[in-house]
Amino acid sequence: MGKQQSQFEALIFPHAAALLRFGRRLCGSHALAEDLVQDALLRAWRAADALPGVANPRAWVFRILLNTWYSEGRRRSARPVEASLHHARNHHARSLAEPPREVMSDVQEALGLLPEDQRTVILLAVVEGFTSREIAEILEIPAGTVISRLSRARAAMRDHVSGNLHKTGVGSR
Amino acid sequence: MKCAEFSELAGYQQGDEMEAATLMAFHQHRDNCAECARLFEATLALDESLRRELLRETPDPAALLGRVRTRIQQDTRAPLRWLPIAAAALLTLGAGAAWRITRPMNNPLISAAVRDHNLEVKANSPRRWRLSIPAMQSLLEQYEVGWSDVQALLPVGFILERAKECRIDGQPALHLVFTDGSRAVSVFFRGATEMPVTPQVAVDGTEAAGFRRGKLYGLVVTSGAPGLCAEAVRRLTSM
Repeated sequence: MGKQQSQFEALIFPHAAALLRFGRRLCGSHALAEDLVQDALLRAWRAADALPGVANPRAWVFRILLNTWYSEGRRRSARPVEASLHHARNHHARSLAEPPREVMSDVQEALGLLPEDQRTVILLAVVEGFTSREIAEILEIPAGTVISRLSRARAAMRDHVSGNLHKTGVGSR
Repeated sequence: MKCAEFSELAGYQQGDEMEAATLMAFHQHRDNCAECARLFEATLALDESLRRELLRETPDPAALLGRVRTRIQQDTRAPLRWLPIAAAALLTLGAGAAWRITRPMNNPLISAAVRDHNLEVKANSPRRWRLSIPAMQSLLEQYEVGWSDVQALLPVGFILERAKECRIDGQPALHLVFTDGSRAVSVFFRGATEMPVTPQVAVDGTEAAGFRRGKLYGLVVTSGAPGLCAEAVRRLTSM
């Protein structure tokens, strides 16, 4: 194994599990996430000459993953994930890996209902632990936009979850 | 600080730099505004639930990384200094080929299926295929494809070799690969998801066609075997 490959594997491979977890939320299934992450890692390898100058390899590879997703999405369809998941569920074409809707928690359900741009920032921020500035670099958008998307996403999720609590009578006293 | 500003700042991530004066004003507002404090606490609790639930998912990337490593090693066999030249040449050739293939196949479904066939069957790009019969059967069930459906090509010497999930025009689809040892037939199923049944198109030796049998919609793609696509469609629709 060459020096460049060793360096690439040492810096990038440790993030593969996080990429898969994030990819699964983008694609809606483990199988599709595997294809996406694989394509993204091969893209990253082809750009590995730039890696020594990259300050934050984790953010760098997440950015490549999202760019791969967007370019695949543009090539394949502009349809939002929610629509395809909803469609898939209705036609029993749901992935085996995806948790059945009935066992999804309120929080996961609320996450699934968010528009893709808001879901992306909340996953990057809350689950993957990136700062707003890092997310701004990953998504190539202003940090202020990240913060406002996070605020909107959190408000929508809070409303959804508290609405469900009221429906079931929890916390309604 | 007003509630709207507090709400905006509450969107900051832990680890984000907030100026000391702003941070102090933020805490003062939280201490003095019960409603904002309540919403802030609810947000923290929501973040924690989400983090706890999603971090429980610990996908094992070992197999995936093995495939990526294999592909990297294949790529690096060529001397790196020739890589930019080779890439430029391939890009030119690829763009030409893609133009020739996609221009007449401007139907997005057909284009997507042909692209997957070229990438995953002709170029044999590493993918995690389901190879065992039970694993393939469980995928077939998901897409409401019967085992008898996939035996349609048996009389002409083809067996089901592998299966995987993919996306066709943004929708989940099942990709089946049949082989007779020298030729391959890709069949894509989208279950009962309606799609237009595209008549056969043929470009540069690649043939593709849509079909429908009852509630089942599918696409067939073949390459380098004139007439095979039509034969496959005929058999798949006459089961």
